[in-house]
Amino acid sequence: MAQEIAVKGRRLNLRQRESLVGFLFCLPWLIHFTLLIAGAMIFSFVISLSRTDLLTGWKFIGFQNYSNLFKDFLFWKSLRVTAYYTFLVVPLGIILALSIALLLNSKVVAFLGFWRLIYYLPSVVSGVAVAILWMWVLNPRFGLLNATLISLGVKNPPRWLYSEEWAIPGFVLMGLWGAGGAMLLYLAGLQSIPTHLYEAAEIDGAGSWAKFWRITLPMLTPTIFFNLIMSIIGSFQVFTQVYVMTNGGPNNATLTMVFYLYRLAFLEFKFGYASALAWVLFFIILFFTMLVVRSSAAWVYYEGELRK
Amino acid sequence: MFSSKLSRRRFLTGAAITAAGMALAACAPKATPAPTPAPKPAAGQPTAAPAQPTPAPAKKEPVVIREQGGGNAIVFPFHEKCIKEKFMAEHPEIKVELEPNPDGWVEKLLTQMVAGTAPDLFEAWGNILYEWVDRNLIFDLQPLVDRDFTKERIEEYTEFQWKGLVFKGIRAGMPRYINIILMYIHKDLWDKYGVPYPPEDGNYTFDDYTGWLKTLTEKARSKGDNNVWAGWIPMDDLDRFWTPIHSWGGKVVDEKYGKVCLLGEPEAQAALKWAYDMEFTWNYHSQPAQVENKWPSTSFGPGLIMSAIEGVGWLFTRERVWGEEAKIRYDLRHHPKGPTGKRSTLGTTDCWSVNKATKHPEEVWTLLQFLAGPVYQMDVAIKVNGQIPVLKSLIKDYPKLLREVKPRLEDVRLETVTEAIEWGYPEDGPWFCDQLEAFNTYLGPALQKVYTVGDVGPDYLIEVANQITEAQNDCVVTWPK
Repeated sequence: MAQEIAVKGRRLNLRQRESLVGFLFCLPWLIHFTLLIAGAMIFSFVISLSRTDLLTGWKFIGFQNYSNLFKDFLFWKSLRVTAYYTFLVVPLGIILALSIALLLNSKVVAFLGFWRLIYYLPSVVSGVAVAILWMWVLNPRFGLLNATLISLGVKNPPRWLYSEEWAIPGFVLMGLWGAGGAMLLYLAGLQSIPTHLYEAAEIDGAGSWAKFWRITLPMLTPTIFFNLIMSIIGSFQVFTQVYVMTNGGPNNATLTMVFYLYRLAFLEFKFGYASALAWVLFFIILFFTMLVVRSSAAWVYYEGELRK
Repeated sequence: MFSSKLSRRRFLTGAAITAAGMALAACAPKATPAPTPAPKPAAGQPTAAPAQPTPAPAKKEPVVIREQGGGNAIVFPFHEKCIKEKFMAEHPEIKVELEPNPDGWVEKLLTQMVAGTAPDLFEAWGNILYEWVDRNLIFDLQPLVDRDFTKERIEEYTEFQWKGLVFKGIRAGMPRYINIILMYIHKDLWDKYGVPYPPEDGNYTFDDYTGWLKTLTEKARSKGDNNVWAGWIPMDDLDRFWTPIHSWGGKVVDEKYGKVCLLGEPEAQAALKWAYDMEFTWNYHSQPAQVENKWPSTSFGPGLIMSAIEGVGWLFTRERVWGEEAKIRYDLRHHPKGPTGKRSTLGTTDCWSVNKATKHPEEVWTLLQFLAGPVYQMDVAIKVNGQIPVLKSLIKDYPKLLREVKPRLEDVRLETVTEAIEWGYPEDGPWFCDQLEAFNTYLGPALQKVYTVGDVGPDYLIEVANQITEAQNDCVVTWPK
């Protein structure tokens, strides 16, 4: 009998057994993905082809939700608002986080640990708390920001969240406040650049600018690449601050796509239409992500990579 | 040959069968023990006498109903105590499971209704009821009212609220408390600037109101007080913006569930122009940005505004924040009359509503009658919350009852509340055929542009009114199936 079991046991070789164990470890995530992510996505696509409030019935309408979307002036408004926010906050965020990381990585700043902590702290504060804090910072009359601007001699500082022109720049400033998270990644990237590269450059007579341009920046491109993709995805999905601070106003000046989606689905019960918007947003994010991924071959450098 | 050891294959097969069995068992309806049929006597045999004495009938399990709401952390324990001691003790056949409102409860409740796990009874009000009724989620109470209520009993409720709780042909709830919007005055600040209080009899118009606010503003500015405003009506709020319009004799929409927006009409435009001038031309009313866009009640306590057109529904909260914490003296006055002599203010339709999917409508109806009845209204609405009760028989004693609990309210003219209800000027807000489209897509943003940003005047709303009317063209009022 023991011999028989042993024979059966030999049916799986070591590699197969290891694969099996690997799959078992992955199983919770696979179940989660299949049921809660892929399943929800398929469901969302199906209802995007229907007119439904999920309560009183369904009516299959093909791609009518999608065609209606392109005729909806609020869709275009939300797209403009989201794109404006993204194209401001993403590059500025990268530049700011990189600049702070470079500063903290230099030898000229004392108490580095303290400064790292200070810059990183905002990124661990919850989104709602940050939003409430920034409502005060951006307050036109009592706010810290306008008080600073007035003390610098600005006569009529912006009304920020009460102005159609300045509400999104206000959100951008708030977004930049959380640059500490990306800063930490850049700092890790900077500290992993081999020192022999700089030593070799110095021997060759390279100055600070040349070292930054020809060593630091190329060696950081994988980190920039990662941060760029994550920032694009995150900023296209901006929601919390809109929900807490402006509710999309004034006059839809901060109506971002995800907030519009939320409003359509949960306040107006247009779940089919909201799902169509979700899919359009998904393809917009996918487009920009693919654009960055495709372009990465031209500007992202991996150490040890051979290029023709 | 059978192995005495459990092989992996057998284990997996067994486990799969067990799991499938458990899943099927979970999906199956709950087993209810069927009454044991009496054994049939054999043909020609007499019925056998019971061998033992008949056991006493088993105590019937109470019907469990779930109720969500009951106020904030301060109020909820009193709500719970009242339900347990005064309702459940009277009705042992009903067990009420109480659930406080969680954060974001409106969306969560909707999700629960979709999933079929919503409580039987919950708090609601006009704006959310309008959509929920449309989605067939709300139980129609009218047949139960018709069955159980006499004419006299119906007349115990105020007309605006009783009528306002009929949404699209169904009675969507029973009144929870009354909230109406009246005028608070900050007596310390009115005294500081030497402006006499508005007369108690309410015999004044918006012209008088404008005059008082002008004087207050000028006196404050002359003393160098630049961070205080004479008043504020949040005109970008969809529950508030229409009260001057109605007082001026105008309308927002042609009829209940109407399709024609009338904001371009001269009366409405005159009221809207007055409100705009109060904010941006004269600045007697604060602009939202000047008072951090807080609600008037929040700006009133710290003395940012000297009068507030605001609700009196939760007077003990006001008293706690303004009287006990901020230690200010305040008073209540009537809403001003418009140029045509008409006086109009919001009276809310806050209520308790029933989930259409409830399995126990009769038990829920029993609880509803208790909540909208004299015991609960006295013990919780009046004595704990300082709310205006929903029953006329209690409203007349409302000032006295509130002062018994909070003696400081001696200085606040609570009779203004009872008079306002008696005079009948609180009313339900305007309702478009497609309310969400009219308010969310067009009117809300437009009001923000005029009254928050202030870069265009109220004539901007003429074009918006046309857009609303055009957008409502395709709307058909849908009635619950």
